[in-house]
Order: sequence, then C-alpha cells, then structure tokens
Amino acid sequence: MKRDFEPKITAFCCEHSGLPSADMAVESEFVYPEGVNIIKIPCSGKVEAIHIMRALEEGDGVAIFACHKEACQFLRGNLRTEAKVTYISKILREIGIEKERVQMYFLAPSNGVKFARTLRVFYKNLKDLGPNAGRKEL
Amino acid sequence: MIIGERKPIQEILDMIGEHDKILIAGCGTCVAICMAGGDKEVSILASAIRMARNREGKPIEIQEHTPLRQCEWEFVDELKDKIKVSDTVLSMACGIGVQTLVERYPEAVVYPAVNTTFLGLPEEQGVWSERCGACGNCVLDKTGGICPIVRCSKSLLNGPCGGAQDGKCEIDPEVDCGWQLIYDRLKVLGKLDNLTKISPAKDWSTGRDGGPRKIVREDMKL
Amino acid sequence: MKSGSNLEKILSAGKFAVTAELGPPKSADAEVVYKKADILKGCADAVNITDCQTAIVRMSSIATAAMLISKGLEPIAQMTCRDRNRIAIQSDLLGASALGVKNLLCLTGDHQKFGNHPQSKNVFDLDSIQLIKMVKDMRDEKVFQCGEEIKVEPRFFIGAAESPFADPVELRVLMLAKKVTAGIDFVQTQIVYNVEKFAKWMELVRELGLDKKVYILAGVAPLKSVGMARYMKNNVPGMDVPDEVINRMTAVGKERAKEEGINICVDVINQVKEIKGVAGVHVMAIEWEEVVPEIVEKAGLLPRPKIG
Repeated sequence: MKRDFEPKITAFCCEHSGLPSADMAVESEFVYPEGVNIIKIPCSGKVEAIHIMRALEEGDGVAIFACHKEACQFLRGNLRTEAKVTYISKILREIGIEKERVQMYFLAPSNGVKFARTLRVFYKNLKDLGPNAGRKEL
Repeated sequence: MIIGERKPIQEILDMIGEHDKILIAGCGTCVAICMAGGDKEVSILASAIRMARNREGKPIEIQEHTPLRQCEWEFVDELKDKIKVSDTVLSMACGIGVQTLVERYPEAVVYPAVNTTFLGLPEEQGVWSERCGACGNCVLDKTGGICPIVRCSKSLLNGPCGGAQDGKCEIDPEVDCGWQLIYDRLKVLGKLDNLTKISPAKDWSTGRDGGPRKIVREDMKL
Repeated sequence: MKSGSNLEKILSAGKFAVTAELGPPKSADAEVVYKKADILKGCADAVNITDCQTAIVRMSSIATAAMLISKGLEPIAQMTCRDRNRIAIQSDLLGASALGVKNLLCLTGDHQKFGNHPQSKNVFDLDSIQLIKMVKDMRDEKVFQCGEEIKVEPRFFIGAAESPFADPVELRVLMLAKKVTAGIDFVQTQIVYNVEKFAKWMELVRELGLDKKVYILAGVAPLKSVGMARYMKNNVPGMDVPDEVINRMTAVGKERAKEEGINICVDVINQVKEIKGVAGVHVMAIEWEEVVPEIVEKAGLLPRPKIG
C-alpha cells in the first residue's frame, strides 16, 4: 500500500537560485522525482504563509528553494521566508501535521546537483512519512 | 488601534466541535494591521482547520469573508448571506466585532478566534505594544505624553516604585519602567516640576470600574 | 503625639531607634508567630509585619500585628496597594486601629508576578503616596478618602519605604520628598550595604531638609552566604551590594559566612549611625529572626530605652 504512494510535492523556486538550479538539473539529466510542481517566484520572500498552507492542503510536501542566506537579491527575502516557515511549523504542530512536510533549502544559482539530490531525499522522507493526513480528499 | 492575537488552533477546533459548515469572518481594520484577523489570517486559519479536520476524517466546508470593519452595522451586513448558510461563525475580529455579529445576527452562533489583547501600536513590523488603558480620564498632559496607567506595571500615578533597575521594570527586564520614560520625557520638556505635584487618588469610575460605558451625542443623533 | 506609639516616643525623644521585621507564616500556625515574637521581644522598639511580601500569601499583617500586641510587642503593620482598593484598606485600618495597632508602613507592594498567584488580578486603586495621604487625612482631618467624617479616627504613626539605590536615582529623593508632603512621619530604607552611596543620598535628603521633617531609619540585613550576597546584587531591584562586601563574605569561607554576615551588618549599623540625619536602623532578617538580638547587642543598642 505504502509502496504505491507517490508523494505530491510543490517546489517554490526563487528565480535567482532554485529555478536556474532546476533548469540545470533538467538539462544535465540529474534525476529528481517526477511530478514535482515547480512554481517560479521572483524571490523566496514572495512566498506567503497561505501559499505554503494551500500547497500543503493539496499535496504531501512543500519545498522552498531560496538563495544562500547572505545572497538574497532583495537582501532579506529568504530570511523572512525562513521565519514564515517557522511560523507554519508551529501551526502544523498545533493541528497534528508533521512539520517535516515543509522544508526550506538554500542553494547557489546553478546547483542542479544539490537541487536534484535534495528533492530525491525530500521525496524519500515524504514517502516514509506517508500521505499528508490533512490533504484534501481527491 | 486594537491589537489581537489568534487563539491556539486547538481551542478554536474545540469551539467548532462537530459543525461542518462554517464561516470565518475577518476584519479589515485593526486586527488586519496587527496581522491577527485580516483576510490573510482568515485564509491561513481556514486552511489549517481544513487540514486538521481532514486529518480527523471529518472534512469541513469553510467560507471566508473579511469586511472592512466588523464593528459597524453597515459593514457586517455584507456577511448576511454567508451567515445564513453556516452552522457556526468564527470571528477573527476583536471582541467588539464578535459582539457586533452577535447583535446583528442573533440567530447565528458566533465564536471568537482571536484574543483581544490591548490598545496599542506597531512599534515596528512584527512588534506591537500597549499604549492606552481606555481609563476614560486621560492624564497624558501631566506625564509628558506617556501613559502611567499602562506603561507602569502597577499603574502608579505619583512616580516609580522601588523596583526599577537600569530603567527597566521589576516584572521583566525587557519592559521599560514607565516612570523612567516619563521622567526622561519631562526632563526634555523642562517639566520635572510635574513630578513634585501629588496626583490625588484617581477617579476610576470613568473606566471599566464604573460599569459598561456609553457616550450619547444628541447633536449627532438622527 | 500623633499615635502615641512606642516608636514615635523613642524617635521624638531623640533616641536612636531600632525596628525589626517579622515575616508571618505561610500557614495558620499561631505558634510560629509567637516563637518569633519571643525572639524579637526587647531588642526592637517596634516590629514590622510584612503584608504578603513578594506577593506570596501569608498570614495577614494586621492579624499578626494583633497577636504581637497580645505578647507585649509593638507592631508596625504593613499595607500594600496591590491587594486592596480604598474601601478594603480603610476598613482594615479601622480594624487595625481598634486592635491597638499604632504604626503603619504604607507600601506600593511587589508585583504579583513574583508571588505564588501570578495569575491574580492586582488592584493598585491607590499608589503608596495616595495611600499615605489617605491615612494621614483619616488621622488628622478625621475623614475617609471620600471626604465623609470619621467619628473615631484611626491614629497611626505613618511610615513609608524608600529605595536610595533604585532607578531613576535622580527621582528617588524626589519620591521621598513627595511622601513627606503626603504625610509620612518616618521612613525605612531599602537594605544598605553600600554605605558610601547611602551617605550621598542622605546628603541630598539633608539638602532638602527632609531629615528634619521625618525620621529616617536605615535598612540593614545580615547576609547568610556569598550566594545570597550575589543574588541580592544581581537579582533584587534597588539593591546595591558592593564588591567589597562580597569579597569579605568570600574571604571567610563557608563555615564562617554567617558570622561574617552578622559582622558586616553590625559594621553598617555603626557607620550609618554616624551619618547626620539617620534616626535609627531597621533590621531585616526575615526567616532568620534569631540573629536580630545578637546584631542589636553587638551594635551596642541594647537595652532598648523605655519611655513613658
């Protein structure tokens, strides 16, 4: 039963780091899980708590790919998102959903290797966690 | 403005109980600015409640609506249709908003999803602090514009107690001593004289101690 | 005489006064009070009875004061603004006076956050200055706070506490002046370890002529250990424990710490006694009342004078 479970992942990708890394992963044929819903954003700071919540409601995990901490093009966008992720973690704890389902990753603009590997690990972790119990029934 | 804070989600879930059709009503004024009950917080709470209920295998249908103000009849009137089809209304306004809904829609079951905490201001993004105790008898003219009723932990009117240290209050080293602030301010204003005058026992009857308050302006009545 | 209390008599006769402090029990056990009263009898002119100090529920100050009177000691009842509104305070004061209490120390009160009921509602209907004014008007004008006449007025020798070391320092003397204007007869200060700083404060007090208007009793207390000295230095607001005192406590080692604490206390008494305008000392040894006789004895303040 669990073997058949395919985690549904949404990945918010900052166009200064996550997105070029995703593109590179595709071009270089680095393998990452199929069906990841990649959403391009101008800065990880543009992700709001509600975007993360809604994405989680419709899936099993949310990943945010942001620039390295000192490298945000908008100075503190990534740090603010990190604080939002902490806030979401608290909400998830309150409602009994595993906080591991929402992850934030920091990476360089052209790190396709890390992008693909991170998603593979995240996918595996989600597979171990099982389906998101809070997910909308399909 | 009125500052509020969302209640713990479990407490909100307990209020909703078995109901499966609810309306979450936000407020677009004070609680939106203090990020406790505006449209964004309404959406987040709705999402959290849906997930919590899905997890329990008891899906819930949630409508969301945030009028500009939940403390005025004309704005809460726009909630009419949504309230009609909901078992329960969760108000994310301050306590005033909750009661406005209760009075306007006596047939509806309205619960508070926000704790109304104080009257204050956003000191900076993400930080709110208290400024006014609504005592109904303002003394700011005597205290350099700093309120001793809420800035002093003991609401003292004649100066600090003996508990201040390094300008901080005895209850918490993070809290400024209100009387230190008043002293500093009066010094700048050249009005330290104010501190030598004995402030007589305060008439608290203009505050909550006098019972529910009401103001009537005949000239404004229609 | 304002109240005719022993403390008032001693002070107005120009004698160096000694007051002590008794912490009522956290229970209804009368024996605890009587035991402490026995210890303190004869070595203080009057004994302060704390009013739920640090916001911890204890036996009522006024009830304990009445028990002391029955044992032949003179109490100084304490009244804080934290737990009672003006109705309750005045009512309690009528009762205290009827029970023979003649001294009253008017305090703001520690915030309930420190106590064993941090979720309680505080009152602070009055602040300590308004409380002083009310008690004085009850005595001298024979009126309640509302202005209504009192047929038989409560007569108290009115005291206040003052903290020479608390912030803002510039304001502290001013606060004392305000308490004097409001109507106090005597003041007991926060515990003095830093005599130099206290002497400076006294200078300011004398400049304003406050020492002529009220009797100033310097607060003193024996240290039990280095740990206690450090704790007071760092954690008790309005407390100044100089390094010299901590060094003295450290130097003697653990076994002799208590003895040295008593010595320091006696030294402080001898020093403050020489400061112009100091009318007495207030020895605070809460939960260590048994050392008070020794301290007073060593300071050469025994036997206590008997007046009228």
